[in-house]
Amino acid sequence: MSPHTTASILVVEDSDEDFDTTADAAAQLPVPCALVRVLTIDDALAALKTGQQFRLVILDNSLPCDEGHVFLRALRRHPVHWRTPVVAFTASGRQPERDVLYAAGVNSFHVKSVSYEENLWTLETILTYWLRAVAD
Amino acid sequence: MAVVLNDAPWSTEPYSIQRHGVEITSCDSEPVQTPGCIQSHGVLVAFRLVDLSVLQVSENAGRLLGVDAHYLLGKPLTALLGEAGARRLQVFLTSEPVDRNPLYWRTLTLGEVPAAFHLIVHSNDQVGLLELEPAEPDAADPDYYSLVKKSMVRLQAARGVHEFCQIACDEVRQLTGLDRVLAYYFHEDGSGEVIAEARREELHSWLGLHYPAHDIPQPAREIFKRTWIRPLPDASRALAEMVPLANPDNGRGLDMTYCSLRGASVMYTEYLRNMNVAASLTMSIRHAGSLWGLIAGHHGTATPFSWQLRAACELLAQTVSLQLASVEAREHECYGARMQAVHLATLARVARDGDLSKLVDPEPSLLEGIHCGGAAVYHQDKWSTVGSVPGPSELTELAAWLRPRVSSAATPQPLFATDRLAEAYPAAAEYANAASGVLAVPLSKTARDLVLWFRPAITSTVSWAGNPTESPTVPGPHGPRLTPRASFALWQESVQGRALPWTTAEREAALYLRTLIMDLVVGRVEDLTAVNAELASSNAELDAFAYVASHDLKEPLRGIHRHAALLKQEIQAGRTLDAQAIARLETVTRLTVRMDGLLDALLHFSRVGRLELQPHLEDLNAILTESIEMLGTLAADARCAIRIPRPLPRVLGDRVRIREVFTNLISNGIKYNDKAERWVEVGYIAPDESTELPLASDTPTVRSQTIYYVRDNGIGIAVKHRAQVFGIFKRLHRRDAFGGGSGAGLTIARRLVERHGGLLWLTSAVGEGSTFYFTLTAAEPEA
Repeated sequence: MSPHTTASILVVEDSDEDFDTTADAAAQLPVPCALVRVLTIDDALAALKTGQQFRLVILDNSLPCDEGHVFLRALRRHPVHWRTPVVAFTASGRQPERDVLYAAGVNSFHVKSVSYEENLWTLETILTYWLRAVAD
Repeated sequence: MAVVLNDAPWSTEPYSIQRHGVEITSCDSEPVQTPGCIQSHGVLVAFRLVDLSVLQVSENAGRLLGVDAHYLLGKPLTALLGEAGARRLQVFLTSEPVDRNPLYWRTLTLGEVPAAFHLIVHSNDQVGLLELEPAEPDAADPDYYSLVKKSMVRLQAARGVHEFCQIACDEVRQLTGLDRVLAYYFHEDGSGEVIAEARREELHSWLGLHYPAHDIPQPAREIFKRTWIRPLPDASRALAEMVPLANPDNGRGLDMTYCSLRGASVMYTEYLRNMNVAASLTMSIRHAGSLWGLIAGHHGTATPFSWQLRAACELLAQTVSLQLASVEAREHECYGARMQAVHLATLARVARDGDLSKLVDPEPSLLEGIHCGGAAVYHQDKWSTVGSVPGPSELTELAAWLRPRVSSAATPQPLFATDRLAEAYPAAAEYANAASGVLAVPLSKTARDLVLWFRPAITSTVSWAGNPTESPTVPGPHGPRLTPRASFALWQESVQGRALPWTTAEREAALYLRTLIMDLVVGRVEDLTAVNAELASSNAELDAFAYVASHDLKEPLRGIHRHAALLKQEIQAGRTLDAQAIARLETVTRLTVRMDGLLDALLHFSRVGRLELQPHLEDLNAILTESIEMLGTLAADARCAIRIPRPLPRVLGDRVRIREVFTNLISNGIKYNDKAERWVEVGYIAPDESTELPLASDTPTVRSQTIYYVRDNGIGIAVKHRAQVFGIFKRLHRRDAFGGGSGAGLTIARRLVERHGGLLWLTSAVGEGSTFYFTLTAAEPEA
């Protein structure tokens, strides 16, 4: 599949329910896209080494073990993936966490809502914006 | 400096103002008690007490009495007073207390002139003194007695020293009708300050004028300690010399200390002329044997001071002196009480908040206690200040300099006080305006913590405008030096870099504050600091709870919301309750259970922080058995062996809590294990066993205790994750891996061990297994 027709999106998310919501949002898009899910930062780092290219990374910052910024810094130093947009979609939106992620090079920061509809809308907007409106 | 007396021109013959005079440099040695001259409006006769024969007479006797001075010398007083007069004088001398105490005797017409004279009589060291002052014709003196009585009543109403002196000035001016009446106060260094003033309206104020100590030379001060009043009705009138200058009986100049006719030093009369003052009347204010100050009356024109007026002023001066003591005592008392009230109020705040920095918070702060321009407190490595103080780095350097000076080894009183800091500590010159004076007390033996009070330079707080136009256009022979302006300038120079001195009461207040802080507060502050630290840590934990609530508790909620929303959509779209819908409902149920588990863990952790331990001597083997039972089928299901190499010792601890530590550690060992043959070993290392262990906390203090361990052959924990495993709700693995779990187990285990006073730590090799070690007693402090 050509990257122009099917966009690969890396979703770093350990919650099954939240990943399902992301999948719901992706399904609404007119553009076909493929979600690659990893559950831990270690797996996310490993995904960078597979040779697969991603149009977008959606990062849940509230993962067990390492914080998302570790992955983010590795990505920004990566010879291939450094320009891939990374959007944080996470449960806690406290200022220190936002600061850490922005300092590490996150492109935008979104806080998860309890409302399914709201999360769906947020994710649709994220996907539409980053996959269609932003040039490579 | 003062000229050595032997070099003075009058060292070879008795002094005479007219013959010798003085210069500015020698006025401190001027023999003002034996000036050799009198004010020439009266006549002075000195006579031998034993036979009433005349020893010395002022040279103006001929002019005023028509009897030549030389004629009288050696003659009995009958030559002047007649037989009857001399007899009456003899009676007066023996019946009245005239020794060093001038008394009005009578008014007489004497000699060849018809004018009447008031006769004042006193004696001093075998010499009788007769002062003859022309009686003013038709002078109807007011009722001085009533006037002075009223003045006394007014003085009694004064509430403070300044008000008291103000009333004194007002009363003296009312009594005398002089143009200006000033109250001088002599500071500890001898310098004078105008603290009260009553004057004709059109005159410029001298209030706030300061002058250096030598403006009133020491000999003059000595006289003011002995006499109450010093009249100078006409400063520009010529002097009359005594004939002869020396007492023929002893060869010395006549002691005129108590004579109202005593001639004034040319320095003084020149000063008065430079101020356009023609007449002056000065009263002393004495306190506890020393000269506290003066009340000085000035008049633009020459004015006679009758003996009645002088007597009234003398009485007033004595009253003022007597009452001043009580006014001053009352003021000191009020000041002392205020300092203490302020200090206690600030201390109450300190005690309440457990923070010494509250000493400088308004209101009141230390600023309202001891008079100062600023105050600083150094406590717990930080400065807290109020008012005008040096900068933080300057304070720190100053504190380093002060510490050895206030430490108990250096000084009997743990206090340092100076009113001229820069003289001892030159760096302080930079901030002399804020801190020319410093009062410091240490709050501990090492003087690490300090309380400092600062006083500004006097020159920055005192301003005296004076009035340039009042300066004489043509000053006297000694030039402009003898003017208030020059005096003020000299005084300013003399107090450069100086602050007002710290009084005994202020030092005592500072020491008392120190005692209170150390005895009552420091201990309490330490307690409170510990409590606050605990509060801060439990606040941090609360914060972590809130974080978790927003984080982990919302995660299942989002899932519930998601499935409920989707289910609703699907039903609205006409879909029936099919298998997918059932699956959604099952997920919702599962998520509520997970959330319940998280809430339980949270509540439990919060309880662990609060609960009171119930320590008893317990058999650890029994506790271990119980905890394995509580794990139920966990070990069996995982086919995990629990090994206990040897029986465990007895231990002092809380049975339920220790059981929980074992449960948490053993269940982790079982769960985080991917081996075919899993095992968990529980054992201990006795203090005397030199087992080789790669202990993270392998210190002598830990080594002196029994160390318990739970070891497994599980997956191990990478070095970078070893701190994280103890964080609440931190999991190293995804939620459902290794049997799930809330992520609070190790946090709670560590907390429980710490509540026992022990430590919990681990060693691990990835892929090979982990060992968790813990102790259950507080480590003995190292010897």
